[in-house]
Amino acid sequence: MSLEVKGVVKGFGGIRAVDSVSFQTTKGAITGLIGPNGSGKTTLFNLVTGFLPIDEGEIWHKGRRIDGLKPHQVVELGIIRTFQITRIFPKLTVLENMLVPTRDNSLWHLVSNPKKGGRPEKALRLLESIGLATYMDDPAASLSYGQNKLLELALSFMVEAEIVLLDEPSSGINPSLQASINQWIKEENSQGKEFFIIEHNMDVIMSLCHHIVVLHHGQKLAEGKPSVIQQNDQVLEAYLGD
Amino acid sequence: MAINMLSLKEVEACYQKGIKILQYISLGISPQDIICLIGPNGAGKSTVLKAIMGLVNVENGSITLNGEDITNSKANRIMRKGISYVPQGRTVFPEMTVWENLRMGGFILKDKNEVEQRIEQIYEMFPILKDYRNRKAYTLSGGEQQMVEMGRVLIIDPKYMLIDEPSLGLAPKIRRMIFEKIKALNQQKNIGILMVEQNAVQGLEAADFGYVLDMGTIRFWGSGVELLEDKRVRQLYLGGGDAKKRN
Repeated sequence: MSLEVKGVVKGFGGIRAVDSVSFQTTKGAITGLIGPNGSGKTTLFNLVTGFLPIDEGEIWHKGRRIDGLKPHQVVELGIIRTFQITRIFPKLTVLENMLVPTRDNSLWHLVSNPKKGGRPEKALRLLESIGLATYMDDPAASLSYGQNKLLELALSFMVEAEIVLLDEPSSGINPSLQASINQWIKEENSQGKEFFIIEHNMDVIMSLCHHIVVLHHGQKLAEGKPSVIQQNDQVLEAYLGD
Repeated sequence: MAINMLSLKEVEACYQKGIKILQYISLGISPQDIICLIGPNGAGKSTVLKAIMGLVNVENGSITLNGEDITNSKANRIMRKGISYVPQGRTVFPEMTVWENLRMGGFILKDKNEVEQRIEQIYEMFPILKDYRNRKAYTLSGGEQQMVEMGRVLIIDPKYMLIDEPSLGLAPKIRRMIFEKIKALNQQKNIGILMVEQNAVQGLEAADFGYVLDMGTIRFWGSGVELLEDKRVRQLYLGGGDAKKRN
């Protein structure tokens, strides 16, 4: 067991965006989180990562209670995330952006040599495989929307982390890159990194995930292995359509 | 010639002087058409839409609407001529109600009654927006927000609609519904649609005609079906695999 979500509730005004949701993720596995738009998936990510406080319930990580922690404290536990709307440094180059999370973050380092970072080889290999190598010396601001998403995804592979939460890694990304992105996720996962992924692309979810949690109207509709979820009538009705 | 047509002729466009994002882009669209642009990230698809709207500088070539040159015109003037634009990503005004969002689309219209009439027509097209008219936009789901965005540009009664990734971030079931709405706009309202899509299979299925952009130029073109069945297109841009398979 890795993450444990117990009876978590989050309301916005009169709406229960997350309504008594409980589930666990398995250490080192790839867990998928799916559900219709507005079903509470991103809110759940925000609760796990401390971006929003929970109203009720508990969230645990490896025997430690983490609800109530600030986002930076959650990051220090090795739980990191990407966003639906990308957040990168527009004036740093593409390569510099890649190196930011790998550096020594001491204040002295930030002041003395802000652009130097670790593991440039891995950064280059990643940029190569997602088609951004030719832009590595360009400011990130010059990238298109989809390229921004790719950069942020690549960034999440650069971070030393125990659990990586990906919010719709395939949206806005050309399908021809999907195979190499899946390959990266599998490679990082085989080295022990756990993934928790929100995704609408069922090919991606079904080929990557060991376990899937389905949300609907803020509640857990189903959970199980991909093959089981694919056959679940309620999931077909609420999410996949005919 | 060139009657009832939006056409691009050998268009070259730049954000920064000297760095051409688009090279020799030529394509035409009539109010009967649904056209889909696909291609890798950074190929220039969004830039084609921005070039038409005057949001990026066209250095060479020309863009004409029904024969009239509109190259590098201001976006508000282009809108008045009947070309509307739905940008990429969620762009509703989150703190405004659905009704207020729709009204914002009509800021170039002087006649308040006309605005109200058009909003009623939009409600006919998207009945759920009428039910939610007093809800703040941020409380709507992704698919509903996409409908607000499409409704908002309908208020100027456009002849053409440029849509940048209408299915972005939408659940499979909702994605199909949005493409159905796009087809309905085209067939019932005679609005020519030029859309950019990364869900290339569904985008091309909905489209009459498609163009594959790569590195700022058109590499392949053909009917949606032709492109979906083209081996090279599938291999290079659709991630290989079976063209019939749906997400």
